[in-house]
Amino acid sequence: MQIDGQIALTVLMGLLLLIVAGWIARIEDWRSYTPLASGGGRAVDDTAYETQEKPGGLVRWLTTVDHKDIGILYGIFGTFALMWGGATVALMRTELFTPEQVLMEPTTYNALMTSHGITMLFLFGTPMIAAFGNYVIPLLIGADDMAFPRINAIAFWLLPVAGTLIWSPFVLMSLGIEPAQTGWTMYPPLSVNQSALGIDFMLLGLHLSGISATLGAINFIATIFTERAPDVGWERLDIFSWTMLTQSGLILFAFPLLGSVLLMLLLDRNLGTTFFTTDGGGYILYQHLFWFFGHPEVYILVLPPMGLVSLILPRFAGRKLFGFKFVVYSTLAIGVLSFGVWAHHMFTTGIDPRIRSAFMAVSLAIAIPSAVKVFNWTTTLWSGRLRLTVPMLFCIGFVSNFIIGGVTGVFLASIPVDAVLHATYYVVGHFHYIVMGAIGFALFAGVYYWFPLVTGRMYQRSLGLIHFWLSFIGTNVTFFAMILLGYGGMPRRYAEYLPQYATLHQVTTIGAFLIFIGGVVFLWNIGQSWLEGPRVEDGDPWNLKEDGLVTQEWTWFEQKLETRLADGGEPSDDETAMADGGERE
Amino acid sequence: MSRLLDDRVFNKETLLDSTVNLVPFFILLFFLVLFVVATPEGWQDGSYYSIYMITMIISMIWGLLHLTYATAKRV
Amino acid sequence: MEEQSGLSDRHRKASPWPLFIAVGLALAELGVFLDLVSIAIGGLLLFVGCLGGIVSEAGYARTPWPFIGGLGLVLAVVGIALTALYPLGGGGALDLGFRAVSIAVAGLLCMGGSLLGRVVLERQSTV
Ligand code: HEM
Ligand SMILES: [Cu+2]
Repeated sequence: MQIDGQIALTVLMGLLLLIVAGWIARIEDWRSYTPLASGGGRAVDDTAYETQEKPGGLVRWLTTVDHKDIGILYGIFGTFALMWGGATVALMRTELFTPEQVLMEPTTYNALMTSHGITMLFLFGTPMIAAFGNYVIPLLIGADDMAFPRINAIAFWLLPVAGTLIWSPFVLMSLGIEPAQTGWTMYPPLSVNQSALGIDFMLLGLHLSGISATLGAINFIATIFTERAPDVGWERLDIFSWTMLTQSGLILFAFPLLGSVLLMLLLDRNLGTTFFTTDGGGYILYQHLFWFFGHPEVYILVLPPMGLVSLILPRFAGRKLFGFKFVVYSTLAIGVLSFGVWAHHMFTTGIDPRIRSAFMAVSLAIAIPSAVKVFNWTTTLWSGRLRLTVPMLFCIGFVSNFIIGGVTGVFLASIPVDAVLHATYYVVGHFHYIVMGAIGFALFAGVYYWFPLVTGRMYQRSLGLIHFWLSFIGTNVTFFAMILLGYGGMPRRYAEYLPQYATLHQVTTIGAFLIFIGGVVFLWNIGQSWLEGPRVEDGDPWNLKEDGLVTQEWTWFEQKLETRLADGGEPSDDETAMADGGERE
Repeated sequence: MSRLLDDRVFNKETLLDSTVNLVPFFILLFFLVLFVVATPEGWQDGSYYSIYMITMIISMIWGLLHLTYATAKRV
Repeated sequence: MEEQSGLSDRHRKASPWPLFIAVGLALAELGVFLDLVSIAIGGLLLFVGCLGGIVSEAGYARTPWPFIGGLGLVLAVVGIALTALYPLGGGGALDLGFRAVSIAVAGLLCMGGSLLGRVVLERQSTV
C-alpha cells in the first residue's frame, strides 16, 4: 500500500515533468532568430506592436509577463478568493443565526473560520492590492513595465499554487486530509499538536504566498526607484505609488519573518524540533514572532487602500488632495511605528507590565498618523464640488468606516480596556470595520474607478449604487452589532453561544447577508459590463480635465483610444478580444 | 537648532508639513517621561524590563525623527 | 550560434517559465516537508530546470546549463551534508526520513542533466 502509493506518485511526477518539457519545447519553437535585446523589461518601443508580442488564446495568459495582464490575473485570482472567503463566512453566519448548533459540527465551523481569515488576508487582500499596483503604477509613473517582468509573473503564479494548497483540504476531506482549525494566528501548541494534514498544507501554502508577496514588493520598490519617467521626480510621485512603496518596504521586513516562523512550525510538526514547545522556545516566542509580522501586516493591507482613496477621492471633489505632504509624512511615520506595536496583541498573555506599557505608548502614538489622513480626506471634501459617482461613494464609505475602525482600535491599545475586551467580538468588530469597511471599500472604489481604463467599457451605475448601499448598510449593521456583542462579553471563535446574545447575533447575520447580496450584484455588474457594457469613447471618462486633475494613466488611456481610432478596423474584431477576458492592445 | 532652521532641508514649508509627525513624537515623549518619572511599585526590581521598555520607546522616537528628516530632504 | 532560449524573441511580453517555477517550488516544498521522495525530487528538478531556463532567457547567461549545474551542486552538497549529520534511520538528533536523500539525489540529477545538456544539446545545435 505504502509502496504502491510511492510508485504511483513517482509515475505521476515523471509524467508531469515530461508534459512540461514537451510543452515548453513546443513553445520554444515559436522563437524567431533575432538576438535577444536585453534582460530587463525596458525594451525598445512599447505601444505599437504589442499584439504580436504575445501568443494567442489561453497560452497568452499562462505565459504573459506584461504588467497589465498580470494585474488582471491578480484581480481575477483575488476575486475568486473573495468568493471563497465570502462563501465560508456565509456558512458561519448562518450557523450563528441560532444559539444552538444546527448546521455543522464545531470543528467544521473552526475550519471555515480559519480558511476565511487566511483567505481574506493573504489570498484576497494582498493580491487585490497587487492587482492595482501592477496595472496602474507603471502607468502612473510613466514606466514601460515593472522593473523585473519575469519575477512579476513568478510572484503571481505562486498564488494560485498557494491557494490550491490552502483550499484543497476542503475538497480532499474524503481522503482523510482534514482542514486546519487553528484560526488565522496559528498559535502553538494547538497548531503543532493537531495532526490534521491540512495544517501542513496551509503552512506550505502560506509560505509560498509569502514568497510571492516578497517578490512583488522587491519589484515595486525597484520599479518606483528606477523606472520613473524623467519628469516624475520624488516630489511629483503620486500618493498611491507612495503608499505602495511604503507597503513594499513593510513587506520586505515582515514577510520573510513570517516565512521563517512558518518553517519553524513545519519543523516542529514534522521533524520534532522544539522551537515553540514549552521546554523549547515556548509559545510566547511564537506570539512575538507572529505579531512582529502580524501588526505590520495590517498596515501592509491598509496603506495602499489609503493611497487609493487619497488618489480617487479628490478627483470627484474637484480639488487637489488637501495637505498631500501630510499624507506622505504620516504614511512613512506609520511605516516606522508599525514595527513597534506588535505586543498590543499580547497584552493578556502575562508578559511584563513594562513591556506592555512601551507597546501601549507606541500604539497610541501610531493612531495620530492614521487619524491625520481622515482629517485630510474630510478637508478635501469640505467646500469641494462633489460628484457622487460609485467610486466616490465607496471612498466616502471608506472614510466613515475607517473612523469607527480606527477609534475602536485606539481603545484596544489601552492596556486596561484591552484586558476586558480582548478575545471578544469587540476585536472582531474593530478589525472588520477596517478590513471590510475600509480596505474592502477602497478596493471596490478602485475597481469602479479604473473599470473603464482596464476594460474600455463602463459599468452599470444603478447596480453600482445598489452594491454600495447594501455594502455600506450591511457593514455597519454587521460590525456595529459585533462591537455591542463584545461589550456584552461574547467571546470570539465559537460556533455556539448563550441565548442572551441571540438578538445581536441575528442582527449581525442579517447585516452579513446584506453584504453578500451586494457582493453578488458586484460580480454580476463587473462580469456583464465587461462583456457587454457600453464602450468608452472618451479618453477622460471622469471629466478630470475640467478640474485639471488628470493623472498619467488616463493620458495613456486616451492615447490608446486615439491610436486605435487612427488604425481603424480594430473595433470590428474586438468582440472576440473581450470574450477572452482581456483588453485589446 | 538654528542651524536646522536655516538649512534648506527644514525651511518654513517642510517644517509645517512635518509637524504631523511631531504629534506622535510628543506622545511618545510624554509616555517616556511618565514611565521614567512615575514608576509604580515593583518596577524597580533591577530586571532588564525597564531597559527594554525605554529602549523600545526611544528607538521608535529615533526612527520617527530620522524618517521625517529623510523625507523632508526628498519631498 | 543561436542558443538563446525563450519565446521572448518574438513574443517579447511572454515567457513560459514563471508558471512552472511556481509549480516546481510548491512541489519541492511539499515533497521535502511531507517526505514524499518522488514529489520532492521531481519538484526540485522542475524548479531548478525552469530557473535555468528563465535565467538564460532573460539574457543573464548564454545557456541554462551552468546555472542548473551550479544549483544542483548546492543541493547535492546540502543534501549530502544533512545526510551525514542526520543519517538515514534516525541515528542523529533528528530523524529526517528520506528528506536529505531526496535533496541530494535531486542535486545530483541536476548536475547530470546539466552535463548532458551541455554535451548533447549544445553540440547538436552548433552543427
Ligand atoms: C489601520 C488598520 C488596522 C487594521 C487592518 C487592524 C486590524 C486588526 C486585526 C486583524 C486585529 C485582530 C487580530 C487578531 O487577534 O486576530 C486587530 C486587533 C487590534 N488592533 Fe487593530 N487594526 C488596525 C488599526 C488599529 C489601530 C489604529 C489601533 C490602535 C492604535 C489598533 C489596535 C488594535 C489592538 C490593540 C488590537 C488587539 C486587540 C486584542 O486582541 O485584544 N488597530 N487589529
Ligand atoms: Cu496590531
